[in-house]
Amino acid sequence: MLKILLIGLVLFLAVFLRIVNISETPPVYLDEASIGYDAYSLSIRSKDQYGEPWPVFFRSYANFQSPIYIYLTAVSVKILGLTPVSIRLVSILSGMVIILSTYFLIKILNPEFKFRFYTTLILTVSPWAVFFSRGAMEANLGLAIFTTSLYLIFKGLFKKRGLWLILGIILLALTNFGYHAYRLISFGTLFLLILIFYRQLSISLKKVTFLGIACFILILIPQILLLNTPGSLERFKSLEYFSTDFFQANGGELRSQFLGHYQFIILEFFGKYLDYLSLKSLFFDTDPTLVRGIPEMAVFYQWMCVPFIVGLYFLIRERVTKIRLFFILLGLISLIPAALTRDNLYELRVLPFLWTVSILISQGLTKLSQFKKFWPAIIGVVLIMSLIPLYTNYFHLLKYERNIDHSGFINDLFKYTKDRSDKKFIVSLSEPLSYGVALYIYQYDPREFEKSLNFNLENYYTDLTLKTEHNIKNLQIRQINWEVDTFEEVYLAGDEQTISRFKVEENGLEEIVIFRSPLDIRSVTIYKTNPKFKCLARLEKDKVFSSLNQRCQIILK
Amino acid sequence: MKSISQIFLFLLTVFLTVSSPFFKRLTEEVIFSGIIIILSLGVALGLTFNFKKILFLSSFLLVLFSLWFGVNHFDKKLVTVSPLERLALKERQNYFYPKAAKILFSESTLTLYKYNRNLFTNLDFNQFFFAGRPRYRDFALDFPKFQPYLLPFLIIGLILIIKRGLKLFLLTSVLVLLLVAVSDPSFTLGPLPIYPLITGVISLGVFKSIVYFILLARKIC
Repeated sequence: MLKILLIGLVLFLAVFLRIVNISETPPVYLDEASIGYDAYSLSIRSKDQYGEPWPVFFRSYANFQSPIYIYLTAVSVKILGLTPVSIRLVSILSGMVIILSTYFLIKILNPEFKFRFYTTLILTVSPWAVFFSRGAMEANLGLAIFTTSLYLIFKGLFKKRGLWLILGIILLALTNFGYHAYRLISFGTLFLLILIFYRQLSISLKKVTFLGIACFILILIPQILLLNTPGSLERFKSLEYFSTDFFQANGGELRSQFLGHYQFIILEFFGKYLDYLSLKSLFFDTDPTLVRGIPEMAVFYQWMCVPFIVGLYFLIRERVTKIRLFFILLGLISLIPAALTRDNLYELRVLPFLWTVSILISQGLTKLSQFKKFWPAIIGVVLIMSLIPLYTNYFHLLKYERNIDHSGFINDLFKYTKDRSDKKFIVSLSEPLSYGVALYIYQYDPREFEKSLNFNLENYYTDLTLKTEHNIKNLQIRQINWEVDTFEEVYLAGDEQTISRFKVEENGLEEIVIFRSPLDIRSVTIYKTNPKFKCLARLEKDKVFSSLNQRCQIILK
Repeated sequence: MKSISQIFLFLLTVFLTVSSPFFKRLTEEVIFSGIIIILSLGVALGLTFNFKKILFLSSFLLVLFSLWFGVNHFDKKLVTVSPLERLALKERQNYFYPKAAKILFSESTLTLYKYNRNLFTNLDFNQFFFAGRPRYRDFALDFPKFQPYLLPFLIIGLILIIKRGLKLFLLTSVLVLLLVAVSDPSFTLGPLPIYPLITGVISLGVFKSIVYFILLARKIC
């Protein structure tokens, strides 16, 4: 009874941490807005924003996103409408599925209650688990499918039930549609499972495994058919570091060395690979992509370094069982996709690795609590040392210091323009993808948007160009034409880079409202044009020019 | 036979130390070069042949060296607050209830934060083997301190140490890391007292791998 109560409390805490203030913190980001709008379009007419019915990859900002998250979000958008909650609901549920499936997986593999309790607790409070469950992240859904597939596979293996095994392998195949990184990780996992556990399978289970592999390949057919299209490869091509151009730009001294390009590739791979394994990356450094991390906080709390090292110590000291070997190798192969990309420390791509590290930390905590005997005290310490930094850094610092990265003030701008539908706005922002946020906030009719795009669907997976100038109701999102727009009575909205102080004075623009990021680092201002001022200025200019012309004519004579 | 092994390990450790990129930069600092060679030898011999007295003595000297290093290359930023940091602290204090803010964003928490940053920087293997690649620390003029191909041997050595439960060595490592964390991370030569530990473990890894392959070859033949 006590055990059920403890697990129940932890699950309650998990739900609370994942839903509290979810519509405000963090603000809806560009990628989330695009996911939401595609889901909205699907829920209305079974087509994405470009008009493609049931795509294998969503074109979105020509970055070809994995489909399952958007398909599932279409359901929540249909029920709840297009809101931050409906966009993030799949991720919140994924976070809960990760915790539950891991709990049941550990229950099969290790009978010790403490171990699976600590694993549940660590997955509940870890910064990475909370952060990625509170945003519309395909990778989080991918991990939920992945952990569920592992649970089913191990249940099939240990209970000798073929049905679970097949279901697990099918889910493993589906991770390919959950997030791009699983296009490598799922194959690696299947290979590891066969390599390590094949011998212990009975003949009937071996047959079932082959059937499962056949299903795995069948499910991948849509992706295999698109394998050669730019859309399928775009994500990788835009991120890889193998090209000669990238080497020439970043190779440094290696450019003049023998086999320098190969040396560069090897150093990049191992440098990036080790970077994810570094204690500094795991416990100290925040994700350099500011929108993917919590201020001043790594993917794990600093205190977790101690149980991690203890867990590692016992992992090495104790006998390497097949299950342990599988999890060690799984953690190591799950870093490969991220190490093949040029981004430094992109934690979103290594969620299975972070998941295995969480299990290792739990192992360390279990060992520590055996020494102390008084394990409720350890739970108390874990909770205090986790929830205080989470509260300060996530629920406060992030709100203030990452508002810009989460497009917080862009959200405010479009909410303002939407409320003033009788006025015409020309929006010019230095972020070209901001139109995605406008589509989401205006809940613009996807049929109208598709018409305005005039996109040839035959090139859906091959055309990599992206139109960033759009007309959305009372909005025109485009560059300002200073010689034309200022002679009309309109409202111009822009940031410091698109509307300079000089332009404001030159065109006599009247400041209407400023949307500032909380720390006043960046702002978007709405100005009203002054055609009268502009016309007078033009006449004055013409006068000067005509007198100059006359003078020139006299000189020339 | 044992003395041959000991001589081989002696030569191997000297070779590994001298051929390491960090050592080339130490040529002008003769005292440092000597200390590091002696300590590396002590750690390697103590670990490989389980010479407890040698290991204890080198551990003791290593801790003293770390203490001296920490004092002489003390990171002044740990105890001073720059105007920019003070501004950030003040700004952050505004987000919270005043009483809580004073505890959460005080100068002492900033010191703790900086100490942890130094500590985790010294735990970063990339700094030692890949010149901080891919995230170069430009301020520290990073360079690889050890040859990258020696990394597997470091891992082998560490696994062997943990398997054998060499608590003295593990305790020394923790102490050295804690002491070196007070030194300035931008010191061009890097955290010197850690190098003998790494060289010693690499020597153990290389030595045991060679022994393993010799035994394997004998079995096959």
